[in-house]
Amino acid sequence: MPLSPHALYQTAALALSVPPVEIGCGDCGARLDRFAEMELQGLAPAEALPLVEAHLHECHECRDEFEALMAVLRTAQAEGASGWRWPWRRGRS
Amino acid sequence: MRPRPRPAPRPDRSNEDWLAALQSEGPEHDAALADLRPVLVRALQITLAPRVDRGADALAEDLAQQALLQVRERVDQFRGDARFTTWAQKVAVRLAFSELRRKRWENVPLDAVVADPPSDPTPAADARLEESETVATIRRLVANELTDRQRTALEAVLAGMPLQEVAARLDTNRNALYKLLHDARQRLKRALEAEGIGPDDLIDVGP
Repeated sequence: MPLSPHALYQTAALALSVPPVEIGCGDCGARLDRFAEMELQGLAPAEALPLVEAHLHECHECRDEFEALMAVLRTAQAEGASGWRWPWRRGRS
Repeated sequence: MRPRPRPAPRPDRSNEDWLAALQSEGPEHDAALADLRPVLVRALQITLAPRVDRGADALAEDLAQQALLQVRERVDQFRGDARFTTWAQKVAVRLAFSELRRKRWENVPLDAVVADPPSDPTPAADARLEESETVATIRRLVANELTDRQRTALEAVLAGMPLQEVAARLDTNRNALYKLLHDARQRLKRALEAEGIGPDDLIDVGP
C-alpha cells in the first residue's frame, strides 16, 4: 500500500531532523546507569554525556527505559529513607 | 562433613566485592546471587506495575531468574562508572521492557504493519496533500533513495512498532537497526535538501 501523504510528511520530517552524529541503543544502554545516577545526584548528565542525552531525545524506547530506571532508583532511595528493609531483614529490629 | 555456613547477606557490597563474588564459585557466588535477587525483583516490580493490567508481582518473580542470568552472563560488560546494583537494575529494566514489547507484538507480522501506514486523522487533509508537488517529490525520493530494507524499517517504526520487534523480524538487533535508520534518514535528508525541501515545507504535517 503506498504511503499516505501524512506518512510521507512524517518520513521526511524524521529524515530532516536526523542529528549529524548519534550513538545507537547499545552505546546509550551501556552508559544509562551512569547517566541515571548523575541525574539522581543532580550532576547535569546532559552536559557530561551529551550523546546519551541526544539519543534519549531521539529514541523513545531508550527514553522509556531511562525513565523506568529513574523510577527504580528513586523508589529505592525513598524506601531506604523510609526504613524499607531487604526481605531477609524484615521482622528484625 | 558439615556444610559450610552461608555467608551473611550483604546487599551493600562495593562494586569490587560484587564482581569478585559473581566471578567466583561456591558460597560467595551463591550468596551474591541471593542478595541480588530481591534488588532485581523490586526493579522488575516497579517497572512492570504501571505497565501491566494485573499480575506485575508474579511476572516480576518469573523474570527475576532470567534477569539474574543476564547479569551473570554480562558481568564483564559492567564499566564500573556506576554502582553495580544500578547496572544490574538497568539490566532488569531492559529485560522487563523487552518482554512487554515481545508480548504486545508477538502476533503482529511486519507485513501487516507496513501495509497499514499511518494516515492523516482528517482524511480530507490527506486527499488535499496528495495533489501537492512536495508530496510527489517525497514519494519519489523515498522510493528511489532508500533500500527496501531501509524503507521497510522506516515504515514499521513510523507505524509504531518497537525497534526491538522490527529488528527481530529483520534478523538483526536493535543497535544495528538504529544505525540502519540513521543512515536512511541521512540519505533521505540529503536528497530532500537537494530538492529544496526543508522543515518549513512540512508545515501541514500536524501531530
